[in-house]
Amino acid sequence: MHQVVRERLEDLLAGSLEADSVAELHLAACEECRQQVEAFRSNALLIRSLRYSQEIAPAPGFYARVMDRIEARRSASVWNALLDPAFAWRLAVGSLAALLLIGSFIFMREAQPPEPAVTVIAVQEHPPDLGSDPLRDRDTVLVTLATYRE
Amino acid sequence: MDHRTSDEAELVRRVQAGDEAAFREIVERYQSKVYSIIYGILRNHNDAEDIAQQVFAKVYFSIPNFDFRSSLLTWIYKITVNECYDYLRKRKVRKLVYESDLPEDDDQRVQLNEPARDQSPPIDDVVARRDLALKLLAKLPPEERDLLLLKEVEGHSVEELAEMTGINENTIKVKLFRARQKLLKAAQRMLRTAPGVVTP
Ligand SMILES: [Zn+2]
Repeated sequence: MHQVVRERLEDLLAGSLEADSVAELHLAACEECRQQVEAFRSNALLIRSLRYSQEIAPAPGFYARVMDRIEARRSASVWNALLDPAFAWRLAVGSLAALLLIGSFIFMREAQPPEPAVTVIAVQEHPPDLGSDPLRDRDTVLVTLATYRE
Repeated sequence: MDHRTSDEAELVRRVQAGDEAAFREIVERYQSKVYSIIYGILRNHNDAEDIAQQVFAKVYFSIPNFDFRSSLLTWIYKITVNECYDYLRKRKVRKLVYESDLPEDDDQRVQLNEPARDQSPPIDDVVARRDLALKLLAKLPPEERDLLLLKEVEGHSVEELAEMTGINENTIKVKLFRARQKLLKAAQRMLRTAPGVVTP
């Protein structure tokens, strides 16, 4: 479409240009522009089929019904906040985390081996030094047995 | 024109400050306009009532964000057209679920012809043209769709559109041209895939 027509397209479609205007004169001479303007015009007419010339009022009491709708939306939004997928997700993740924490605490308590007698460790850390002196050996064995029994 | 200084703007500011009487004034001032726009598009009174309620509920919740760049009526108009298309989209999804064994094109015809279900014969030329207009407009981005509707259906001039939207006249013309081009392409595509359904 040539610039001279394109610039005045809205006026051409509205039929508000003089017959001797530059754009109209161009149209009369240019087949290409004429065809395009015709196509635009028929589409404009198509959209005008949605025109409804009368103004219709809604049934009486419309404002009250709007306010009911607003109230319904207000209370729905409270529920929506609770049922919101993002909120539900956060809730699920939070619960899972809490559950894991409690679970691992219980598991660790149960999996821990019973504490061995401190004395045994002490004995193992200082193994009896046997063999060099029979008298000391006897004392060492006695001490070892005595502490173990504890 | 500055949309901050009109009496409409005063009304908006009162609503923004929590004045419910001002909101009531807005509803009563524009309810017939909104109802008629919806009825013009969907041609069904139940739908018009339902969507009009929805529009004003949306106005109520969104008005704190109204920025006075356009007139209040233009803003409400956009919400209204948007709600109509939202409704058509949802109904199409519903229809596709219930009538999934129909060929796709028939689905769209069923869906868009529905507003005239009380009429017989079921498809006359006027209804079919409206269906086609709605389908083609659905292919445009909302801003371009609203402009074309304001121009062709509401009958506003470019000058008025500039004033209503706060966009300068040249930009309005460019946007309208782009919208018309897209519409034409969509019509050509539709006629290629379903020739003889309707002639625009
Ligand atoms: Zn030309």
